[in-house]
Amino acid sequence: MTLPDRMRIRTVGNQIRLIKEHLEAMQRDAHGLEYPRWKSEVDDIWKHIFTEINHMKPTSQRHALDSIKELWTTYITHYNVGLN
Amino acid sequence: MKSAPHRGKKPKHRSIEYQERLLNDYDDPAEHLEREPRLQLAREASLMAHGVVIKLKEMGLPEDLDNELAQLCTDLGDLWSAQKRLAEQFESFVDSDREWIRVGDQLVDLRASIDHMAWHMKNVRRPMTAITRYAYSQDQAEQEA
Repeated sequence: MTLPDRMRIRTVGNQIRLIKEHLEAMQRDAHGLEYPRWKSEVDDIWKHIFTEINHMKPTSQRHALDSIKELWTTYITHYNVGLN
Repeated sequence: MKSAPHRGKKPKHRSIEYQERLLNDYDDPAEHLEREPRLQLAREASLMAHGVVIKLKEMGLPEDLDNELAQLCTDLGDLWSAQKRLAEQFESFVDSDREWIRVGDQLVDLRASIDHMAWHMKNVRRPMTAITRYAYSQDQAEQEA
């Protein structure tokens, strides 16, 4: 693994945890005033994650994509991605 | 010139096996992707954010400032939790073993927290200004009444 990829993989790991934490906050009050703002931030973090992965070498990309697959699938299924 | 004395733990013996373990197993980057989130901290941040909404709504903040309030409360809630995380990461960075691999990992983690805080610090200014203006205007109206 290249050094930049090592940094990117760890950054993606941190951002994935941040998304999980924000989803926890969103699920606590899905009809609250805060919900759209949490979601907007999560959407922004996803963009950063895919930008990081896009810059990785293929081997690292595979690791990263495998690790986000489940969360991303759940997210686009339950959080109206692309509709808001 | 004397080198600075080591604080805390001395560096471990750097055998080939030890270095291989560091490179292959020690906080492996792929394993890092699977580490668990801090859900309790997220719940506390959510409560803090909601506390901002409750307080200002109970004080009579009008609906036309709902967007600003939504942004203010989430930014403040996230900054509150992010500063707690940053403080822990910083203390861990200072106290941890003197291994370059650990330093690299911890600096990436610190950077992630700082970037997260910077995002909120940039966004919080506009809604904070709007609600601050409203607060002062309400105070002025009360003084004049």
